Amino acid sequence: MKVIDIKNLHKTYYESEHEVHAVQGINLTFEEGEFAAIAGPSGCGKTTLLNMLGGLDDPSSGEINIGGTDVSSLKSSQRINFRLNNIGFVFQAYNLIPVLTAKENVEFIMHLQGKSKIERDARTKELLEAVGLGDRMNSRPSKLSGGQQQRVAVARALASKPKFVLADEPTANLDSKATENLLDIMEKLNREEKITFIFATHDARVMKKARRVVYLEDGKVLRDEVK
Amino acid sequence: MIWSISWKNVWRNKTRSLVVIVAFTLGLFGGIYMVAFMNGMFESRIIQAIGNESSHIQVHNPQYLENNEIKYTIDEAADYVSAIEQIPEVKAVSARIKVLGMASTSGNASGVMINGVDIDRERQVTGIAESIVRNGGSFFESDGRKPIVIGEKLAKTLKLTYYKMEGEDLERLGQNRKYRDVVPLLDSIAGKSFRTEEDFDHALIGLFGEKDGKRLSFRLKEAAIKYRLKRKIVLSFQALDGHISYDAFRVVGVYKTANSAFDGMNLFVRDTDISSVVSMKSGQVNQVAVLLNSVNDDQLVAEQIRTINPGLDVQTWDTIMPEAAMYSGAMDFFLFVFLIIILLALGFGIVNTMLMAVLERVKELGMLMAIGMNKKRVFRMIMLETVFLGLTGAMIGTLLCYLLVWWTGNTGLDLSALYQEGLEAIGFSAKVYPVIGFDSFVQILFMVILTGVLASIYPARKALKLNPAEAIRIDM
Repeated sequence: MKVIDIKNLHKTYYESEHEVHAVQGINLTFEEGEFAAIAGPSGCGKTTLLNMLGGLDDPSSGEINIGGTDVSSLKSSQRINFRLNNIGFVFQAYNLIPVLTAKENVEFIMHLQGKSKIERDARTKELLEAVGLGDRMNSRPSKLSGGQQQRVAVARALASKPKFVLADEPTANLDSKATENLLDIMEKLNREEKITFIFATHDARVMKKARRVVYLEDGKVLRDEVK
Repeated sequence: MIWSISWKNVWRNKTRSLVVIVAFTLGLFGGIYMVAFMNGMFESRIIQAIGNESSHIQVHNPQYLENNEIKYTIDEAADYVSAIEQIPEVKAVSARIKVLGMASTSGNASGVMINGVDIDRERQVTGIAESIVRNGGSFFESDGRKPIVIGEKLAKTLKLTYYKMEGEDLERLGQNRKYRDVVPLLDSIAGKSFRTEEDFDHALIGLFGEKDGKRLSFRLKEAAIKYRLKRKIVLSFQALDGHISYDAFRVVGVYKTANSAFDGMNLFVRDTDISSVVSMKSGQVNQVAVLLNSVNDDQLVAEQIRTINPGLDVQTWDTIMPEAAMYSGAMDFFLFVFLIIILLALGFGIVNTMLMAVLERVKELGMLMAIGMNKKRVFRMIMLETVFLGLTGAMIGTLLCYLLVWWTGNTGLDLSALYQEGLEAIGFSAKVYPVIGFDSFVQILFMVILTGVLASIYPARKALKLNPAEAIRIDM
């Protein structure tokens, strides 16, 4: 089943009065349960594409259809609500809320969704145990290592039961052991929860682990490899 | 959960938050205490003005009020007074003959208001009987012929005072720790009599030097003052028939209220002693003063009194003393203006702090908006954070203030050493009992919350303008 359908996507912006064509006519589809990486050198348009997929940025032209909804046609408030219920985010710098514990960080998004406490508690426990942090639920981010923080971020991204997870350079700040560990966990969750994972990365370890790699260059799809 | 996050956010940068909290604590503590202090001052002025001067209600012949002429009377006062006494809210009633006249002694003369009163009734209506000074005799307790009770200020004007430091005075002075060291130095003037204030001051300057002499003067004069009781005062005034009459009275008591202007003007004699001299018929008076059980009933009772005899003029205390009534109304307004000024200043401080808090959390706020926290919730989070910041300081400030008001409200703040003469000249007591109503505290906390909400608008708008995609990528 198609989760994301991208048709003839363009994004042009202006930087110091110069026109930058960050994305130029991309056509892609992602199916349910994919574990895919968007790769390419710096400035190839990975992050711009990811931002548009996440509804954080508007395309100049083209269409992004997520589960039957054209994201670019949504109003700002509708789009926030759409992100809350359909998309999970993992960021390069973890971006956890420092004043909250690991448990509260994961729980927070479900609170925004208006889920009951029982439901929140059960899902939080399940996810934190799945990422191997069942014993660190009450630790604040400052007491966790980078790898552990990123695992909490993964748990948070999955807490809302999204259609897919967008991870922008999730391993950039991690050492190889933590990276391997994180990728194993994400792959396991991808299989168990059947949630699509899309990474923007230039990390070879991520590309190796991904079952599909879309190579971008100058805002265009250079290669689309399915392993 | 937003409430919990906001509260936790307040404590992210403890030092910065504490600065704002301490500013709120001190600002509100100082502001509210000052208002409580002024309130206490004005309230005691009103209480003592009602208790000693105006009573709650006064009744006059309407024409009497124009020129205070004795001929405009209330007739058959006894029946009128007993009719008023039937009203359940009335505590006591006193009928007075009031004559403007001149009081003279061998030393001086002064214009006065002669109050001819029924002593027992007057005792119940005013606090003059309780305001008799030390060594100042009594309120008509001695059985002399034609007794008179005068104010201390008038006694000084009529040269019925002198200064003499006696053994008992020194002993009393010695009980005060502040004057214990001074007492032995007063030996040389002990037992000596000084006719005037100036003579006594001069002696003190001779003993202690210019600076200390002046500093000690007020308290030492207070300790040494004596009154020439039983001295004769001649009162002269225009009688009902238009002739100037006069009669001699003997001083039996000296009183002192917190209003020296009142003390300098008002003297009291028995109504029976004055009525014959002014040729008033039995039962004629110029004024009926009414004391109530509660000030809140003043309008209600005034209305009832009006129905007893519609031809008379019935005034409540706030009409008789509009300046005192103004204090009570004005204080609420002052509190409001004062708080707005304080909160405005504190509000800008809080805007600055919250702006810093928002700007250093751009990445986090971007993340929150990216994962699906809508603008309403982001705004609420920042607004709550701002309100918590102000409210924490406000709660501490008001609590400290409440305790201090409670404490000093019981013990009183004694300003007599500093400003007694000045305060009494304008009718205020030198001992202030700060007071503030509970509703004022509620009003203050409400205003702090409002300040917090208003102060959060600018920082929150900054946060809401963030583009989540850009905010997340900013290197902090």
